[in-house]
Amino acid sequence: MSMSNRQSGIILFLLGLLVILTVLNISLGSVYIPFQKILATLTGQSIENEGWQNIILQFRLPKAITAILVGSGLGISGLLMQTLFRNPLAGPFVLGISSGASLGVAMAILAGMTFGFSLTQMGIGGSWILTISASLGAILVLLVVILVSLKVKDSMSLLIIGLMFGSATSAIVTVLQFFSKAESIQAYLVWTFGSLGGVTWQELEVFMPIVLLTILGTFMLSKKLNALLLGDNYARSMGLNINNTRLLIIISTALLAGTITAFCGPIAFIGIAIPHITRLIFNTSNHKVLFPMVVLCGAILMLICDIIAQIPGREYTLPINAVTSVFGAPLVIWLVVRRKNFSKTFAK
Amino acid sequence: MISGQNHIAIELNDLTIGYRKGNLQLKILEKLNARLHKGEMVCLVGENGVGKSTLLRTISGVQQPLAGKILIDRRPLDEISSMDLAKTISLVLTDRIYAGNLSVKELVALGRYPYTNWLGKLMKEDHHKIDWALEITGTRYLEDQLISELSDGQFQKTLIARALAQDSDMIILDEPTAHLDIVNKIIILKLLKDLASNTGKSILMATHELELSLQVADLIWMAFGKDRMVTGTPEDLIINGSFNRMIDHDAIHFDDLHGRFRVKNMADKMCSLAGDKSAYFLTQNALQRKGWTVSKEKSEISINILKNKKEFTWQVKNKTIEKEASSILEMLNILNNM
Repeated sequence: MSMSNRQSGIILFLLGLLVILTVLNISLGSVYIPFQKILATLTGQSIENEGWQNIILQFRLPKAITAILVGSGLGISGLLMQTLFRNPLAGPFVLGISSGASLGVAMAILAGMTFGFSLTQMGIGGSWILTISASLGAILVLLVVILVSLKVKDSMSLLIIGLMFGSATSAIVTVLQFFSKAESIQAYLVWTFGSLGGVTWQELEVFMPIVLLTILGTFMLSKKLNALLLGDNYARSMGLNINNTRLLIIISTALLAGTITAFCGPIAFIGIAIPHITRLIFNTSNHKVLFPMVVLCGAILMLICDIIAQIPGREYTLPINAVTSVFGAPLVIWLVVRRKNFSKTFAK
Repeated sequence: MISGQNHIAIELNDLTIGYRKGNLQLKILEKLNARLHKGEMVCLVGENGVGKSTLLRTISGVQQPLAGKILIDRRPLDEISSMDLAKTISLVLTDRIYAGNLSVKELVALGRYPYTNWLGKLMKEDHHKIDWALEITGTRYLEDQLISELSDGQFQKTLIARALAQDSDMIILDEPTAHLDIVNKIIILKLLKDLASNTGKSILMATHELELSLQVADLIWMAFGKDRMVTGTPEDLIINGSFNRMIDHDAIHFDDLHGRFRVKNMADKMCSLAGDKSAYFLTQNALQRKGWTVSKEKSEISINILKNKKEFTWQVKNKTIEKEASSILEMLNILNNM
């Protein structure tokens, strides 16, 4: 795949932007730290103020890394779902994975309350319990979806079934909330706000390899995904094993979306928006270009959202889940309106 | 049928096609027997819903047959691996393509799917085939264009180029000329015809272009509802009345003499027509369209075409009146008032 000059120019610009935004993301926060000290810490020198060093290395750096992983991972899983279902509205969570995670978390919080301990008071241990219960919920839904996908040969039916799973699990969460105390409902709501800052180095040891390896794995699917763009019939006639490919796509998406939701809560919008933004910027449907560029754009957009969420200089942070939508939606609307033939870029 | 010693590309033996629902079988076409030789172009015709697409899907291995055998290059279809089949049969379908941002060249390059490595890297041979496909379909000048920007005719050529890049001995097409204007229809059919005779590829094409297919098809497979399928050269099928059997409708009949369909005359209006040959056919056409039965024998109403240099005059006579018209429209008006 040869890149045009315009494309190489954009890529260089985006790479530069990624570096700048990463440093900026780490520089800004509720505590003011001089820029030289930040650079010094990041380049491995020790600075006299141990509190600052701690904030930078133990809090802001893992948060920036998490933002990059979340943006890339959700972007890739959104791209996978949009290609598999040939639907511009598909995203990482269409198969009900985030609803499954929510169910797991809702049950954990409710159970915790029932047995008289509060997860929020348990600190680190509590956050692991949340992560594990979210993973269990996501895995449960995933297994059901895979079982169904082995039975149902038609991708469109699978999409509808996935949406139904999502609705059903959300409904169960609502019922659980109905029977819960205000306290536990609030704890659950806080989880649904999403959070990038809660991921520690220890958790990153699990989080980072899963996300990175899965993203690398999906790069190997790019030839198959390009064939899928032509539809099942063409793809099969060129020798593609559809069922096999579909299973690989579902498992990769579930791993990415499930892991991210487990560690950071449900983060809306990014997964649907990033692939569209990338397609519009690079004017291509070729997955060999789209995969690396979605990773790049996803990381950049998530870093920007996180910077906005922190509201530099203030003590509180906005829910990241809200910022992604409030900031991302106008961006996509702008791109779509600017390109009047948006729907055409998706289908012929 | 073209010479029997030719290599048989596709052979159907007592093939029954349709759908399975649990233990139930919904048969669409039964006991089909047909052959397609190397280098032949076959048009599969039949009314809407008769099972043309189902037959194409079954032959291309997407759908299982209910009974009987399909031989591809003398090998049973179900014994051919999907990768081998991809190198033997390529498809041109009416499916929508969900990638408007793909360039023409990228789409054509996808045809190399069965030959490239896991990354889809194109080697010298692949580029060679892609270039050839773009060249022969006349889409070279479009190669950098996005497929969302193509006209229907250009898009169809690009799809054919993709099938050619797949480098298969057979190409199966489902209504490749649908939605095209008459010029593009003919361009596409001519392209396919040339491919069959020049490259030795076998082409099986479902189409509704009955009249055009008479001119390009080596063989016609004509599917009838429920019944069966007859095969033969277009001329044989006209002579044995298959065309008229296929269109079993009051309003239409097949004009054997001119090889075209005509709207049947409903009214019982007779006239005789004589005169200059150069305008005879067109005058007859206009009269038939208006519901007149035209004969050369004497009739109560007679029309005579006169030619003076480049000017035509139509003399219209019956027992009482005799009038002259300077155009066909005027002639029809006179007839109307009689």
